[in-house]
Amino acid sequence: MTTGAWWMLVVTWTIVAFFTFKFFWMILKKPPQS
Amino acid sequence: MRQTERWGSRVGLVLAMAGNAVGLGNFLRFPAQAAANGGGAFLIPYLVSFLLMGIPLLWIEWAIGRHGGKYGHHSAPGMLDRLGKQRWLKYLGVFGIFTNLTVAAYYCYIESWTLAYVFHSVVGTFSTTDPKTFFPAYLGVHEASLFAVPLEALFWFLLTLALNVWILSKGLAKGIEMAAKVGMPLLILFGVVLAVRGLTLGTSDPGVVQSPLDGLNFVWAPNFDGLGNPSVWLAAAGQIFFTLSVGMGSIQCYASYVRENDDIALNGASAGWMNEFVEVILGGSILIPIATAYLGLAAVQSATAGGSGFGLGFLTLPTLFNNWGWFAPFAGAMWFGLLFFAGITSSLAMGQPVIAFLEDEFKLPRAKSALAFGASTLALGFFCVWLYPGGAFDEFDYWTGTFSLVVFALGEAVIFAYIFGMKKGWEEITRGADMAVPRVFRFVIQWVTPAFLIVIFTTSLVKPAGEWSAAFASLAAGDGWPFAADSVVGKLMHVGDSGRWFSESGHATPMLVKDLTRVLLSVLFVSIGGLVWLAWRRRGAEGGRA
Repeated sequence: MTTGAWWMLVVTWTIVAFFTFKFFWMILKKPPQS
Repeated sequence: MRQTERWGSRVGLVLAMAGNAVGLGNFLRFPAQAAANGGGAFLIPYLVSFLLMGIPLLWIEWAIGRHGGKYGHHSAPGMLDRLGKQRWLKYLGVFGIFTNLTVAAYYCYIESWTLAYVFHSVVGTFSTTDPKTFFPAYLGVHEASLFAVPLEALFWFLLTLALNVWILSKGLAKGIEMAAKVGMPLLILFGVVLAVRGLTLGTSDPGVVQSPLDGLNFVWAPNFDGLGNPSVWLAAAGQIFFTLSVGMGSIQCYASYVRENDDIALNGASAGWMNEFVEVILGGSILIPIATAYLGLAAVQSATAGGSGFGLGFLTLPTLFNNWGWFAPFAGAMWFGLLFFAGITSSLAMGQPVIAFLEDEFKLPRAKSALAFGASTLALGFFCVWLYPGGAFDEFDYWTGTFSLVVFALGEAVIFAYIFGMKKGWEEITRGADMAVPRVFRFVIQWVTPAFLIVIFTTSLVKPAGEWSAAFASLAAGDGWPFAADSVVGKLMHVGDSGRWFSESGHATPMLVKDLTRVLLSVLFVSIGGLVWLAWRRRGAEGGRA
Protein backbone atom coordinates (compact mmCIF):
# COMPACT_ATOMS: atom_id res chain seq x y z
CA MET A 1 0.00 0.00 0.00
CA THR A 2 1.14 3.53 -0.70
CA THR A 3 1.94 5.91 2.14
CA GLY A 4 -1.01 8.11 1.17
CA ALA A 5 -3.40 5.15 1.35
CA TRP A 6 -2.03 4.15 4.78
CA TRP A 7 -2.47 7.69 6.06
CA MET A 8 -6.03 7.96 4.83
CA LEU A 9 -6.90 4.57 6.26
CA VAL A 10 -5.32 5.16 9.67
CA VAL A 11 -6.74 8.67 10.10
CA THR A 12 -10.27 7.67 8.98
CA TRP A 13 -10.36 4.45 10.98
CA THR A 14 -9.15 6.32 14.05
CA ILE A 15 -11.85 8.98 13.74
CA VAL A 16 -14.62 6.45 13.11
CA ALA A 17 -13.50 4.01 15.82
CA PHE A 18 -12.98 6.83 18.34
CA PHE A 19 -16.48 8.27 18.03
CA THR A 20 -18.15 4.86 17.75
CA PHE A 21 -16.60 3.58 20.97
CA LYS A 22 -16.81 6.93 22.78
CA PHE A 23 -20.55 7.29 22.20
CA PHE A 24 -21.34 3.63 22.85
CA TRP A 25 -19.25 3.73 26.04
CA MET A 26 -21.17 6.83 27.18
CA ILE A 27 -24.41 4.91 26.68
CA LEU A 28 -23.12 1.91 28.61
CA LYS A 29 -21.98 4.17 31.47
CA LYS A 30 -25.26 6.06 31.77
CA PRO A 31 -27.95 4.64 34.00
CA PRO A 32 -30.77 2.91 32.09
CA GLN A 33 -33.48 5.24 30.83
CA SER A 34 -36.77 5.17 32.69
CA MET B 1 -56.45 3.17 25.91
CA ARG B 2 -53.86 0.79 24.50
CA GLN B 3 -50.63 0.56 26.50
CA THR B 4 -47.71 2.08 24.56
CA GLU B 5 -44.93 -0.37 23.84
CA ARG B 6 -41.40 0.51 25.01
CA TRP B 7 -37.88 -0.66 24.26
CA GLY B 8 -36.52 -3.19 26.72
CA SER B 9 -33.14 -1.49 27.09
CA ARG B 10 -31.20 1.47 25.80
CA VAL B 11 -28.46 -0.70 24.30
CA GLY B 12 -31.16 -2.70 22.53
CA LEU B 13 -32.63 0.49 21.07
CA VAL B 14 -29.25 1.69 19.80
CA LEU B 15 -28.45 -1.72 18.30
CA ALA B 16 -31.87 -1.84 16.62
CA MET B 17 -31.33 1.66 15.22
CA ALA B 18 -27.82 0.74 14.04
CA GLY B 19 -29.21 -2.47 12.57
CA ASN B 20 -31.79 -0.43 10.72
CA ALA B 21 -29.02 1.64 9.14
CA VAL B 22 -26.58 -1.19 8.47
CA GLY B 23 -27.65 -2.90 5.27
CA LEU B 24 -26.23 -4.77 2.33
CA GLY B 25 -24.95 -1.49 0.89
CA ASN B 26 -22.45 -1.16 3.75
CA PHE B 27 -20.58 -4.20 2.38
CA LEU B 28 -21.44 -4.17 -1.33
CA ARG B 29 -21.87 -0.50 -2.30
CA PHE B 30 -19.55 1.52 -0.05
CA PRO B 31 -16.19 -0.01 -1.07
CA ALA B 32 -17.06 0.19 -4.78
CA GLN B 33 -18.25 3.79 -4.44
CA ALA B 34 -15.10 4.78 -2.55
CA ALA B 35 -12.84 3.10 -5.11
CA ALA B 36 -14.70 4.66 -8.04
CA ASN B 37 -14.71 8.17 -6.58
CA GLY B 38 -11.22 9.08 -5.52
CA GLY B 39 -10.33 6.28 -3.09
CA GLY B 40 -9.17 7.64 0.26
CA ALA B 41 -10.01 11.18 -0.86
CA PHE B 42 -13.66 10.09 -1.16
CA LEU B 43 -13.71 9.82 2.62
CA ILE B 44 -13.29 13.59 2.97
CA PRO B 45 -16.61 14.55 1.29
CA TYR B 46 -18.08 11.40 2.81
CA LEU B 47 -17.29 12.45 6.40
CA VAL B 48 -18.21 16.08 5.68
CA SER B 49 -21.59 14.87 4.39
CA PHE B 50 -21.98 12.68 7.46
CA LEU B 51 -21.44 15.66 9.79
CA LEU B 52 -23.45 18.24 7.83
CA MET B 53 -26.29 16.09 6.53
CA GLY B 54 -26.22 12.60 8.09
CA ILE B 55 -25.99 13.39 11.80
CA PRO B 56 -28.37 16.40 11.57
CA LEU B 57 -30.94 14.31 9.69
CA LEU B 58 -30.64 11.56 12.29
CA TRP B 59 -31.34 14.08 15.05
CA ILE B 60 -34.23 15.60 13.10
CA GLU B 61 -35.80 12.16 12.63
CA TRP B 62 -35.24 11.09 16.23
CA ALA B 63 -36.79 14.38 17.39
CA ILE B 64 -39.81 14.06 15.07
CA GLY B 65 -40.28 10.49 16.29
CA ARG B 66 -40.08 11.18 20.02
CA HIS B 67 -42.32 14.24 19.60
CA GLY B 68 -44.93 12.19 17.70
CA GLY B 69 -44.74 9.35 20.20
CA LYS B 70 -45.71 11.81 22.94
CA TYR B 71 -49.08 12.13 21.21
CA GLY B 72 -49.47 8.40 20.59
CA HIS B 73 -48.30 8.48 16.95
CA HIS B 74 -45.70 5.93 15.89
CA SER B 75 -45.87 6.37 12.13
CA ALA B 76 -45.04 9.32 9.88
CA PRO B 77 -48.52 10.70 9.02
CA GLY B 78 -49.42 11.35 12.65
CA MET B 79 -45.94 12.56 13.56
CA LEU B 80 -45.82 15.12 10.75
CA ASP B 81 -49.39 16.20 11.52
CA ARG B 82 -48.19 17.16 14.99
CA LEU B 83 -45.42 19.41 13.68
CA GLY B 84 -47.79 22.14 12.51
CA LYS B 85 -51.36 23.19 11.90
CA GLN B 86 -51.38 22.59 8.14
CA ARG B 87 -53.66 19.73 7.15
CA TRP B 88 -51.41 18.61 4.29
CA LEU B 89 -48.54 17.70 6.61
CA LYS B 90 -49.96 14.26 7.33
CA TYR B 91 -50.09 13.49 3.61
CA LEU B 92 -46.34 13.99 3.29
CA GLY B 93 -46.20 11.31 5.95
CA VAL B 94 -47.72 8.89 3.43
CA PHE B 95 -44.14 8.50 2.19
CA GLY B 96 -43.23 7.07 5.60
CA ILE B 97 -45.65 4.17 5.04
CA PHE B 98 -45.41 3.81 1.27
CA THR B 99 -41.62 3.68 1.19
CA ASN B 100 -41.33 1.07 3.92
CA LEU B 101 -43.94 -1.18 2.36
CA THR B 102 -42.57 -1.01 -1.16
CA VAL B 103 -38.88 -1.15 -0.27
CA ALA B 104 -39.59 -4.12 2.01
CA ALA B 105 -41.15 -5.92 -0.96
CA TYR B 106 -37.95 -6.09 -2.98
CA TYR B 107 -35.53 -5.79 -0.06
CA CYS B 108 -36.95 -8.94 1.54
CA TYR B 109 -36.44 -10.65 -1.80
CA ILE B 110 -32.73 -9.72 -1.77
CA GLU B 111 -32.59 -10.73 1.90
CA SER B 112 -33.98 -14.13 0.93
CA TRP B 113 -31.15 -14.56 -1.59
CA THR B 114 -28.63 -14.18 1.23
CA LEU B 115 -30.44 -16.83 3.28
CA ALA B 116 -30.49 -19.16 0.28
CA TYR B 117 -26.78 -18.51 -0.28
CA VAL B 118 -26.02 -19.38 3.36
CA PHE B 119 -27.72 -22.73 2.78
CA HIS B 120 -25.95 -23.35 -0.52
CA SER B 121 -22.59 -22.36 0.96
CA VAL B 122 -23.02 -24.85 3.80
CA VAL B 123 -24.09 -27.75 1.56
CA GLY B 124 -21.25 -27.01 -0.85
CA THR B 125 -23.24 -26.03 -3.94
CA PHE B 126 -20.62 -23.49 -4.97
CA SER B 127 -17.80 -26.03 -4.89
CA THR B 128 -19.37 -27.67 -7.94
CA THR B 129 -21.56 -24.97 -9.50
CA ASP B 130 -20.38 -21.58 -10.71
CA PRO B 131 -22.50 -18.86 -9.06
CA LYS B 132 -22.63 -17.13 -12.45
CA THR B 133 -24.63 -20.13 -13.69
CA PHE B 134 -26.45 -20.70 -10.43
CA PHE B 135 -27.79 -17.18 -9.90
CA PRO B 136 -29.74 -16.62 -13.15
CA ALA B 137 -31.23 -20.11 -12.82
CA TYR B 138 -32.15 -19.36 -9.20
CA LEU B 139 -33.92 -16.15 -10.29
CA GLY B 140 -35.60 -17.88 -13.21
CA VAL B 141 -34.07 -15.47 -15.69
CA HIS B 142 -34.40 -16.76 -19.24
CA GLU B 143 -33.27 -15.06 -22.37
CA ALA B 144 -35.98 -13.01 -24.12
CA SER B 145 -38.52 -13.50 -21.33
CA LEU B 146 -39.86 -10.73 -19.12
CA PHE B 147 -41.45 -13.13 -16.63
CA ALA B 148 -40.16 -15.59 -14.07
CA VAL B 149 -41.72 -17.96 -11.55
CA PRO B 150 -38.62 -19.32 -9.80
CA LEU B 151 -39.83 -21.90 -7.29
CA GLU B 152 -36.71 -22.09 -5.14
CA ALA B 153 -36.40 -18.30 -4.95
CA LEU B 154 -40.08 -18.09 -4.01
CA PHE B 155 -39.56 -20.66 -1.25
CA TRP B 156 -36.73 -18.67 0.33
CA PHE B 157 -38.70 -15.45 -0.12
CA LEU B 158 -41.68 -16.93 1.72
CA LEU B 159 -39.42 -18.25 4.48
CA THR B 160 -37.76 -14.84 4.88
CA LEU B 161 -41.11 -13.08 4.98
CA ALA B 162 -42.46 -15.56 7.52
CA LEU B 163 -39.40 -14.96 9.72
CA ASN B 164 -39.89 -11.20 9.49
CA VAL B 165 -43.59 -11.44 10.32
CA TRP B 166 -42.92 -13.78 13.24
CA ILE B 167 -40.29 -11.48 14.76
CA LEU B 168 -42.46 -8.42 14.22
CA SER B 169 -45.47 -10.12 15.81
CA LYS B 170 -43.41 -10.76 18.97
CA GLY B 171 -43.27 -7.03 19.61
CA LEU B 172 -40.71 -4.31 20.03
CA ALA B 173 -38.62 -5.62 22.94
CA LYS B 174 -39.10 -9.36 22.50
CA GLY B 175 -38.98 -9.32 18.70
CA ILE B 176 -37.11 -6.47 17.01
CA GLU B 177 -34.77 -5.68 19.91
CA MET B 178 -33.91 -9.33 20.48
CA ALA B 179 -33.15 -9.80 16.77
CA ALA B 180 -30.81 -6.77 16.86
CA LYS B 181 -29.07 -8.01 20.03
CA VAL B 182 -28.34 -11.34 18.34
CA GLY B 183 -27.83 -10.12 14.77
CA MET B 184 -25.57 -7.10 15.24
CA PRO B 185 -22.84 -8.75 17.36
CA LEU B 186 -22.83 -11.77 15.02
CA LEU B 187 -22.61 -9.48 11.99
CA ILE B 188 -19.59 -7.69 13.48
CA LEU B 189 -17.98 -10.99 14.52
CA PHE B 190 -18.39 -12.51 11.05
CA GLY B 191 -17.10 -9.29 9.47
CA VAL B 192 -13.98 -9.24 11.65
CA VAL B 193 -13.21 -12.93 10.96
CA LEU B 194 -13.56 -12.48 7.18
CA ALA B 195 -11.58 -9.22 7.14
CA VAL B 196 -8.71 -10.71 9.16
CA ARG B 197 -8.64 -13.89 7.04
CA GLY B 198 -8.81 -11.90 3.80
CA LEU B 199 -6.18 -9.30 4.69
CA THR B 200 -3.70 -11.90 5.95
CA LEU B 201 -3.74 -13.88 2.69
CA GLY B 202 -0.22 -14.23 1.39
CA THR B 203 0.93 -14.63 -2.20
CA SER B 204 2.10 -18.13 -1.26
CA ASP B 205 -1.46 -19.21 -0.39
CA PRO B 206 -3.17 -21.41 -3.02
CA GLY B 207 -4.88 -19.40 -5.76
CA VAL B 208 -3.63 -16.00 -4.57
CA VAL B 209 -2.34 -13.92 -7.50
CA GLN B 210 -1.87 -10.55 -5.80
CA SER B 211 -1.63 -9.17 -2.29
CA PRO B 212 -5.01 -8.29 -0.75
CA LEU B 213 -3.34 -5.09 0.45
CA ASP B 214 -3.31 -3.96 -3.19
CA GLY B 215 -7.10 -4.18 -3.00
CA LEU B 216 -7.09 -2.17 0.21
CA ASN B 217 -4.84 0.32 -1.54
CA PHE B 218 -7.39 0.52 -4.39
CA VAL B 219 -10.05 1.55 -1.86
CA TRP B 220 -7.88 3.93 0.15
CA ALA B 221 -5.22 5.50 -2.15
CA PRO B 222 -6.28 9.16 -2.22
CA ASN B 223 -6.85 10.95 -5.51
CA PHE B 224 -7.24 14.53 -4.32
CA ASP B 225 -7.99 15.78 -7.85
CA GLY B 226 -11.44 14.24 -7.39
CA LEU B 227 -12.25 16.71 -4.61
CA GLY B 228 -12.86 19.39 -7.23
CA ASN B 229 -15.32 17.17 -9.08
CA PRO B 230 -18.99 17.74 -8.11
CA SER B 231 -19.79 14.14 -9.04
CA VAL B 232 -17.52 12.89 -6.25
CA TRP B 233 -19.27 15.09 -3.69
CA LEU B 234 -22.68 13.97 -4.95
CA ALA B 235 -21.62 10.34 -4.76
CA ALA B 236 -20.37 10.84 -1.18
CA ALA B 237 -23.53 12.67 -0.09
CA GLY B 238 -25.65 9.99 -1.76
CA GLN B 239 -23.75 7.19 -0.02
CA ILE B 240 -24.22 8.87 3.39
CA PHE B 241 -27.89 9.49 2.69
CA PHE B 242 -28.67 5.90 1.71
CA THR B 243 -26.44 4.18 4.25
CA LEU B 244 -28.15 5.82 7.23
CA SER B 245 -31.69 4.76 6.19
CA VAL B 246 -32.91 8.32 6.58
CA GLY B 247 -35.97 9.54 4.69
CA MET B 248 -37.89 6.32 5.31
CA GLY B 249 -39.88 6.94 8.45
CA SER B 250 -38.34 3.96 10.23
CA ILE B 251 -36.00 5.97 12.49
CA GLN B 252 -38.89 8.20 13.54
CA CYS B 253 -40.94 5.10 14.27
CA TYR B 254 -38.30 3.48 16.50
CA ALA B 255 -37.68 6.82 18.27
CA SER B 256 -41.38 7.27 18.97
CA TYR B 257 -41.19 4.49 21.56
CA VAL B 258 -38.72 6.54 23.64
CA ARG B 259 -40.14 8.48 26.58
CA GLU B 260 -40.66 12.24 26.34
CA ASN B 261 -37.61 13.26 28.37
CA ASP B 262 -35.27 10.43 27.46
CA ASP B 263 -32.10 11.17 25.51
CA ILE B 264 -32.18 11.11 21.74
CA ALA B 265 -29.02 13.10 20.91
CA LEU B 266 -26.49 10.56 22.20
CA ASN B 267 -28.60 7.59 21.06
CA GLY B 268 -28.82 9.01 17.55
CA ALA B 269 -25.12 9.85 17.35
CA SER B 270 -24.14 6.43 18.69
CA ALA B 271 -26.31 4.53 16.19
CA GLY B 272 -25.04 6.70 13.32
CA TRP B 273 -21.38 6.21 14.18
CA MET B 274 -21.93 2.47 14.67
CA ASN B 275 -23.19 2.31 11.09
CA GLU B 276 -20.04 4.14 9.98
CA PHE B 277 -17.87 1.66 11.88
CA VAL B 278 -19.47 -1.26 10.07
CA GLU B 279 -19.34 0.49 6.70
CA VAL B 280 -15.92 2.14 6.72
CA ILE B 281 -13.88 -0.36 8.74
CA LEU B 282 -15.54 -3.70 7.98
CA GLY B 283 -17.26 -2.89 4.68
CA GLY B 284 -14.05 -1.60 3.13
CA SER B 285 -11.92 -4.54 4.27
CA ILE B 286 -13.64 -7.66 2.97
CA LEU B 287 -15.00 -7.69 -0.57
CA ILE B 288 -12.36 -5.84 -2.57
CA PRO B 289 -9.23 -7.14 -0.77
CA ILE B 290 -10.35 -10.79 -1.05
CA ALA B 291 -11.42 -10.39 -4.68
CA THR B 292 -8.13 -8.66 -5.51
CA ALA B 293 -6.12 -11.48 -3.94
CA TYR B 294 -7.68 -14.10 -6.21
CA LEU B 295 -8.68 -12.18 -9.34
CA GLY B 296 -6.06 -9.45 -9.52
CA LEU B 297 -6.63 -5.72 -9.26
CA ALA B 298 -7.51 -5.15 -12.91
CA ALA B 299 -10.47 -7.55 -12.75
CA VAL B 300 -11.71 -5.97 -9.53
CA GLN B 301 -11.40 -2.46 -10.97
CA SER B 302 -13.45 -3.57 -13.95
CA ALA B 303 -16.09 -5.29 -11.78
CA THR B 304 -16.58 -2.26 -9.54
CA ALA B 305 -16.36 0.45 -12.20
CA GLY B 306 -20.11 1.10 -11.98
CA GLY B 307 -19.88 1.82 -8.25
CA SER B 308 -21.51 -1.44 -7.11
CA GLY B 309 -19.96 -4.54 -5.61
CA PHE B 310 -23.10 -6.61 -6.02
CA GLY B 311 -21.73 -8.83 -8.79
CA LEU B 312 -18.52 -9.47 -6.85
CA GLY B 313 -20.47 -10.28 -3.69
CA PHE B 314 -22.99 -12.70 -5.16
CA LEU B 315 -21.35 -14.02 -8.31
CA THR B 316 -17.64 -14.13 -7.55
CA LEU B 317 -16.91 -14.36 -3.84
CA PRO B 318 -18.64 -17.76 -3.32
CA THR B 319 -16.22 -19.32 -5.82
CA LEU B 320 -13.19 -17.60 -4.30
CA PHE B 321 -13.98 -19.04 -0.87
CA ASN B 322 -13.35 -22.49 -2.37
CA ASN B 323 -9.64 -21.66 -2.09
CA TRP B 324 -9.99 -21.75 1.70
CA GLY B 325 -10.31 -25.54 1.95
CA TRP B 326 -12.29 -26.81 4.95
CA PHE B 327 -13.08 -23.24 5.94
CA ALA B 328 -14.85 -22.49 2.62
CA PRO B 329 -18.41 -23.46 3.70
CA PHE B 330 -17.99 -21.49 6.94
CA ALA B 331 -16.64 -18.46 5.08
CA GLY B 332 -19.57 -18.54 2.65
CA ALA B 333 -22.02 -18.93 5.52
CA MET B 334 -20.38 -16.03 7.38
CA TRP B 335 -20.35 -13.72 4.35
CA PHE B 336 -23.96 -14.33 3.41
CA GLY B 337 -24.89 -14.63 7.08
CA LEU B 338 -23.61 -11.15 7.80
CA LEU B 339 -25.46 -9.87 4.72
CA PHE B 340 -28.59 -11.63 6.01
CA PHE B 341 -28.29 -10.03 9.46
CA ALA B 342 -27.65 -6.66 7.81
CA GLY B 343 -30.78 -7.23 5.75
CA ILE B 344 -33.19 -8.52 8.36
CA THR B 345 -32.41 -5.83 10.93
CA SER B 346 -33.31 -3.33 8.18
CA SER B 347 -36.43 -5.09 6.93
CA LEU B 348 -37.77 -5.33 10.47
CA ALA B 349 -37.40 -1.56 10.69
CA MET B 350 -39.48 -1.28 7.51
CA GLY B 351 -42.22 -3.43 8.96
CA GLN B 352 -42.64 -1.60 12.26
CA PRO B 353 -43.92 1.73 10.83
CA VAL B 354 -46.57 -0.10 8.79
CA ILE B 355 -47.62 -2.10 11.83
CA ALA B 356 -47.66 1.02 13.99
CA PHE B 357 -49.86 2.82 11.45
CA LEU B 358 -52.41 0.00 11.50
CA GLU B 359 -52.25 -0.27 15.30
CA ASP B 360 -52.52 3.45 16.00
CA GLU B 361 -54.94 4.57 13.34
CA PHE B 362 -57.10 1.47 12.82
CA LYS B 363 -56.76 -0.22 16.23
CA LEU B 364 -55.63 -3.49 14.65
CA PRO B 365 -53.92 -5.90 17.08
CA ARG B 366 -50.18 -6.35 16.60
CA ALA B 367 -50.34 -9.91 15.27
CA LYS B 368 -52.93 -8.98 12.65
CA SER B 369 -50.96 -5.87 11.69
CA ALA B 370 -47.82 -7.97 11.25
CA LEU B 371 -49.75 -10.42 9.07
CA ALA B 372 -51.15 -7.54 7.01
CA PHE B 373 -47.61 -6.25 6.49
CA GLY B 374 -46.46 -9.73 5.49
CA ALA B 375 -49.36 -10.23 3.07
CA SER B 376 -48.83 -6.81 1.44
CA THR B 377 -45.10 -7.40 1.15
CA LEU B 378 -45.74 -10.82 -0.38
CA ALA B 379 -48.16 -9.42 -2.96
CA LEU B 380 -45.85 -6.57 -3.93
CA GLY B 381 -42.80 -8.80 -3.71
CA PHE B 382 -44.37 -11.38 -5.98
CA PHE B 383 -44.81 -8.65 -8.58
CA CYS B 384 -41.06 -8.00 -8.33
CA VAL B 385 -40.22 -11.72 -8.48
CA TRP B 386 -42.55 -12.40 -11.40
CA LEU B 387 -41.46 -9.42 -13.45
CA TYR B 388 -37.83 -9.37 -12.28
CA PRO B 389 -36.45 -10.04 -15.77
CA GLY B 390 -38.64 -7.27 -17.18
CA GLY B 391 -37.21 -4.66 -14.83
CA ALA B 392 -39.97 -4.31 -12.20
CA PHE B 393 -37.43 -4.81 -9.43
CA ASP B 394 -35.22 -1.95 -10.62
CA GLU B 395 -38.26 0.26 -11.05
CA PHE B 396 -39.30 -0.38 -7.45
CA ASP B 397 -35.77 0.38 -6.29
CA TYR B 398 -35.60 3.65 -8.20
CA TRP B 399 -38.95 5.21 -7.32
CA THR B 400 -39.33 3.91 -3.79
CA GLY B 401 -35.82 3.15 -2.55
CA THR B 402 -34.18 6.23 -4.04
CA PHE B 403 -36.48 9.01 -5.20
CA SER B 404 -39.11 8.80 -2.44
CA LEU B 405 -36.45 8.86 0.28
CA VAL B 406 -34.97 12.10 -0.99
CA VAL B 407 -38.41 13.75 -1.33
CA PHE B 408 -39.44 12.72 2.18
CA ALA B 409 -36.13 13.70 3.79
CA LEU B 410 -36.17 17.10 2.11
CA GLY B 411 -39.79 17.65 3.12
CA GLU B 412 -39.30 16.68 6.76
CA ALA B 413 -36.08 18.72 7.10
CA VAL B 414 -37.84 21.85 5.79
CA ILE B 415 -40.95 21.25 7.91
CA PHE B 416 -38.84 20.65 11.02
CA ALA B 417 -36.80 23.83 10.59
CA TYR B 418 -39.45 26.19 9.20
CA ILE B 419 -42.91 24.97 10.25
CA PHE B 420 -42.19 23.30 13.57
CA GLY B 421 -39.52 25.97 13.96
CA MET B 422 -35.89 25.80 15.04
CA LYS B 423 -36.59 27.11 18.54
CA LYS B 424 -38.89 24.20 19.32
CA GLY B 425 -36.81 21.88 17.14
CA TRP B 426 -33.60 22.60 18.99
CA GLU B 427 -35.34 22.20 22.33
CA GLU B 428 -36.71 18.85 21.15
CA ILE B 429 -33.28 17.58 20.10
CA THR B 430 -31.45 18.70 23.23
CA ARG B 431 -34.11 17.87 25.86
CA GLY B 432 -32.78 15.11 28.11
CA ALA B 433 -29.59 14.89 26.06
CA ASP B 434 -26.77 12.86 27.58
CA MET B 435 -24.22 14.68 25.43
CA ALA B 436 -23.52 18.32 24.75
CA VAL B 437 -24.89 18.93 21.26
CA PRO B 438 -22.64 21.56 19.63
CA ARG B 439 -24.72 24.69 19.06
CA VAL B 440 -23.38 25.03 15.52
CA PHE B 441 -25.76 22.20 14.59
CA ARG B 442 -28.70 24.53 15.11
CA PHE B 443 -27.41 26.58 12.18
CA VAL B 444 -26.51 23.45 10.23
CA ILE B 445 -30.00 21.94 10.65
CA GLN B 446 -31.69 25.17 9.63
CA TRP B 447 -29.58 26.00 6.59
CA VAL B 448 -26.93 23.49 5.58
CA THR B 449 -28.83 20.19 5.78
CA PRO B 450 -31.80 21.43 3.69
CA ALA B 451 -29.30 22.90 1.19
CA PHE B 452 -27.54 19.50 0.92
CA LEU B 453 -30.88 17.81 0.34
CA ILE B 454 -31.99 20.38 -2.24
CA VAL B 455 -28.78 19.75 -4.18
CA ILE B 456 -29.28 15.96 -4.02
CA PHE B 457 -32.94 16.34 -5.03
CA THR B 458 -32.21 18.71 -7.91
CA THR B 459 -29.36 16.66 -9.27
CA SER B 460 -31.48 13.51 -9.12
CA LEU B 461 -34.06 15.32 -11.26
CA VAL B 462 -31.71 16.51 -13.99
CA LYS B 463 -28.62 14.31 -13.71
CA PRO B 464 -26.92 14.43 -17.13
CA ALA B 465 -25.64 11.56 -19.22
CA GLY B 466 -21.87 12.01 -18.88
CA GLU B 467 -20.06 14.84 -17.13
CA TRP B 468 -21.88 17.93 -15.85
CA SER B 469 -19.48 20.24 -17.67
CA ALA B 470 -20.25 18.51 -20.98
CA ALA B 471 -23.98 18.82 -20.30
CA PHE B 472 -23.70 22.57 -19.66
CA ALA B 473 -21.65 22.90 -22.86
CA SER B 474 -24.36 21.04 -24.74
CA LEU B 475 -27.02 23.35 -23.29
CA ALA B 476 -24.98 26.46 -24.16
CA ALA B 477 -24.55 25.19 -27.71
CA GLY B 478 -28.33 24.91 -28.07
CA ASP B 479 -28.28 21.10 -28.20
CA GLY B 480 -30.41 20.71 -25.09
CA TRP B 481 -29.72 18.99 -21.78
CA PRO B 482 -28.70 15.33 -22.13
CA PHE B 483 -30.72 13.71 -19.35
CA ALA B 484 -29.25 10.52 -17.93
CA ALA B 485 -31.40 7.43 -18.16
CA ASP B 486 -31.35 7.23 -14.35
CA SER B 487 -32.37 10.87 -13.75
CA VAL B 488 -35.99 11.46 -12.73
CA VAL B 489 -36.71 13.40 -15.91
CA GLY B 490 -34.86 10.79 -17.97
CA LYS B 491 -36.92 8.03 -16.36
CA LEU B 492 -40.18 9.87 -17.02
CA MET B 493 -39.15 10.51 -20.63
CA HIS B 494 -38.11 6.86 -21.01
CA VAL B 495 -34.59 7.79 -22.11
CA GLY B 496 -32.93 4.66 -23.51
CA ASP B 497 -36.21 2.70 -23.72
CA SER B 498 -37.69 1.23 -26.87
CA GLY B 499 -40.53 3.77 -26.92
CA ARG B 500 -43.22 1.13 -27.30
CA TRP B 501 -45.10 -1.32 -25.09
CA PHE B 502 -45.15 -4.16 -27.59
CA SER B 503 -42.58 -5.29 -30.11
CA GLU B 504 -43.47 -5.80 -33.75
CA SER B 505 -43.97 -9.48 -33.02
CA GLY B 506 -46.53 -8.54 -30.38
CA HIS B 507 -44.43 -9.35 -27.31
CA ALA B 508 -44.43 -7.07 -24.29
CA THR B 509 -41.35 -4.87 -23.92
CA PRO B 510 -39.56 -3.84 -20.70
CA MET B 511 -41.13 -0.40 -21.15
CA LEU B 512 -44.56 -1.94 -20.57
CA VAL B 513 -43.30 -3.55 -17.37
CA LYS B 514 -41.85 -0.22 -16.23
CA ASP B 515 -45.09 1.64 -16.87
CA LEU B 516 -47.19 -1.07 -15.22
CA THR B 517 -44.91 -0.88 -12.18
CA ARG B 518 -45.30 2.89 -12.04
CA VAL B 519 -49.08 2.58 -12.21
CA LEU B 520 -49.03 0.01 -9.40
CA LEU B 521 -46.84 2.23 -7.22
CA SER B 522 -48.95 5.31 -7.92
CA VAL B 523 -52.18 3.48 -7.05
CA LEU B 524 -50.59 2.21 -3.86
CA PHE B 525 -49.42 5.69 -2.86
CA VAL B 526 -52.86 7.18 -3.44
CA SER B 527 -54.49 4.27 -1.56
CA ILE B 528 -52.29 4.85 1.48
CA GLY B 529 -53.18 8.53 1.23
CA GLY B 530 -56.82 7.44 1.26
CA LEU B 531 -56.23 5.39 4.40
CA VAL B 532 -54.68 8.43 6.08
CA TRP B 533 -57.69 10.54 5.07
CA LEU B 534 -60.04 7.85 6.41
CA ALA B 535 -58.16 7.54 9.70
CA TRP B 536 -58.28 11.28 10.32
CA ARG B 537 -61.94 11.43 9.36
CA ARG B 538 -62.72 8.71 11.88
CA ARG B 539 -60.69 10.44 14.57
CA GLY B 540 -62.46 13.70 13.76
CA ALA B 541 -65.83 11.97 14.07
CA GLU B 542 -64.76 10.63 17.46
CA GLY B 543 -64.17 14.20 18.56
CA GLY B 544 -60.41 14.21 18.98
CA ARG B 545 -57.48 15.47 16.99
CA ALA B 546 -55.85 12.57 15.22
